[in-house]
Amino acid sequence: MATNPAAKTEIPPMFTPYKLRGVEMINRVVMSPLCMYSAEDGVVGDWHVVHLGSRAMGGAGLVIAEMSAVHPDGRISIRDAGIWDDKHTEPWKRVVDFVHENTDSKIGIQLGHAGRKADTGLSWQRGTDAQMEYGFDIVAPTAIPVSERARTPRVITDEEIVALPGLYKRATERAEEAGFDVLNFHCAHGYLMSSFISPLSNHRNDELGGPLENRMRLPLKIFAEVRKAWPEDRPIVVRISAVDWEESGHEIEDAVEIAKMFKAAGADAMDVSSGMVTNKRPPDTTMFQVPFAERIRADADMATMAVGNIETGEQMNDIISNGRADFCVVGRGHMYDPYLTRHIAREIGYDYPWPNEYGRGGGFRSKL
Amino acid sequence: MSPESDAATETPPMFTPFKLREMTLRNRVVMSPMCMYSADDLDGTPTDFHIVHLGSRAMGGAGLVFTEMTQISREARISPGDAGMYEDRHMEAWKKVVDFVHTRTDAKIGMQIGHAGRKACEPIAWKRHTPLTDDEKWEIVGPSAIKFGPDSEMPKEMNQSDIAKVVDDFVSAAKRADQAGFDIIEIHAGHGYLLSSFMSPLSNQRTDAYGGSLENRMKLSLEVYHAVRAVWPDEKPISARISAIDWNDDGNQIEDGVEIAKMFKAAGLDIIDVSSGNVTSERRPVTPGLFQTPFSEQIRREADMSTMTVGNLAVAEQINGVIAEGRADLCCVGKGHLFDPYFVRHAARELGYDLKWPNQYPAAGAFNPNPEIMR
Repeated sequence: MATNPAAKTEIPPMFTPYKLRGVEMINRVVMSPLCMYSAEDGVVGDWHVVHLGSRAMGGAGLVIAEMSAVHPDGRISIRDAGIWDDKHTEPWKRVVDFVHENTDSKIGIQLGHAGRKADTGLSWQRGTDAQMEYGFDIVAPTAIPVSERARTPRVITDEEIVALPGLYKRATERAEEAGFDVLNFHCAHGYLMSSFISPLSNHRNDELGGPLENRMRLPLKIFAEVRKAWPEDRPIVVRISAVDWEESGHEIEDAVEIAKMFKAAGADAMDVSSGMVTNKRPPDTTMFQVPFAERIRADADMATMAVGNIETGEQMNDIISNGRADFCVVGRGHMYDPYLTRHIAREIGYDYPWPNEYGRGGGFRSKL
Repeated sequence: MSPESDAATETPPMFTPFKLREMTLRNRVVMSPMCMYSADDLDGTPTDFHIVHLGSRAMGGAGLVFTEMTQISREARISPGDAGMYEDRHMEAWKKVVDFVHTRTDAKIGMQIGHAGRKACEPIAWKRHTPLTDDEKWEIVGPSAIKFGPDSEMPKEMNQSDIAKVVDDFVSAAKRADQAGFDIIEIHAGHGYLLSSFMSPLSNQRTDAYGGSLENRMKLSLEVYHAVRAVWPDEKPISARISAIDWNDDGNQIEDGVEIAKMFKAAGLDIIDVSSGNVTSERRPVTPGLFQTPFSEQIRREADMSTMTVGNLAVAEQINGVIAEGRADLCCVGKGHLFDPYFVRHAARELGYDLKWPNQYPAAGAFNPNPEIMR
């Protein structure tokens, strides 16, 4: 291990460890789940080993694999990663094993169903002549399209609703078999769970619609099933859209209630995003969602992850030391730089050990 | 070969393409071969580690990435952790690495093949305080029975049949490298490893056709080159890494480096990768500057051939300078790539050069690493 004699001995807040149930993250940096649109029939491959593996080597305490579909019709595109079939387990295990054998990071997987936002194509093909739709049977709590130009989903049937907890349960079992340390239950961004939670997409008048308690009923039922199937010593994090950025949608007060309900059900942390439940764009300014993580952390009294335009070590140290969140989730920064965490450590003079193979990297002088 | 013409374009010199035979590199940055000592079975097979290591750096924008020094035989290994190309299973495993680079990136990938000679049979770098057990050891060979350093094992002086086997092993490795799909091969003839130890008078005191004059000391390297060239496809280039000087008064000087390059060029070698030293246990001087680039420059001018320079290249400004000033055709970056797999992408950002991001990373271009400065 290469050491830097000039390094400060005091541990910067972002480099302090944090434990959720039996899983200890070595620091507070999390790589956000990022859709790669690079799987074949849900099966991940070398791309995912390199994408996730290089970023785990880059020093993040936790890397979270992209939203992985619990049902083939719950994919955003035909190239989404999957966890709906046993054939997905072994390729995911290869990614997990790489991370465990070669790095100090933990690795999580995000379970999702795209709901009315399914079958919308690969992000980089939107606006091209490429085939975007593949005839997925897209479902939602209510037959309302996500935008004027989007396909109208059909109302999910009662049988399908009854089957959903089982789909998530089996996905959870596969995730356990693959060896993931953390589950991220995707209840944000207008995907199926989120579309039940938001009044903008859920106009049902049965016990799954109406007041927040009803709109939360299905996500909580699924959560309970997942929690039962997931090992006791491993944590579950829930990603939510804290606000809908639209009138008559959710405000932060609703999010605090949502977090409290998940906490009561046994969730270990909330991963606090926002919006994307309709085609309204959020403001997307620096750290624009951190106030939501802070508010939930204070009012629901639970661990939170802050996400959204967190870019520098200084910002992360501020967020952690001021108690605004317990983790900083970085997506864009990890696209730009797989070794973001290592490079921040260098910048702030924190001596972060390098892998044996890269001992000489620690001695690199990046400036003349 | 005329870098001056680049100055007329908007493209920074380091981002101009470069062609050797039918291989066109998208830019002038090469990831240097670097030993990883991480073969799976302690018998040469590369693993997912190598896919991630090389794959992420190919995604990081380098025009060419080289595998580590990959050994042509079991006994050629520096350590039990070395990667090899002496079994078909090695070829299959390397092919996965090559396929990833070719299908997912715009980089080319080369394999450096070598034989550690009298520097073989050492512990893995980070276990150097735990010597190999007798069971783990094997016999090491060299041109003469002279130790690499006072604490090294004594090599066996190679006989003619040992030499013939080495040539055959290089050929087999080259064939497998072609099968695996590598775009370029580099013969390691530097740093005191087997071919280098024949070239340096410090380690070669033979009295037969392989010792004595520089021409004789070059005989084995040229035999290997010709044998490899004969099986390596015409459209694919070959490089050789040399120690241009030995950093020792009794060893090779830069004039010898120029002669070595000329002999390789006359044999048909496409490019020479100019390093120095490490031929004995006396360390070469370590300076923060581009201490080896003058050797590349002199060889490029006097032997009139393409060169790669290597050693302490750290920032884009240096690379642009080296290319624009005609000091080398390609710049090998080693430590910089260990520190940062996306070294080239980050250099492009710094220079304001628009290097396309992979489709999967659309938001990367919008990331702002220095908000105070850039906003």
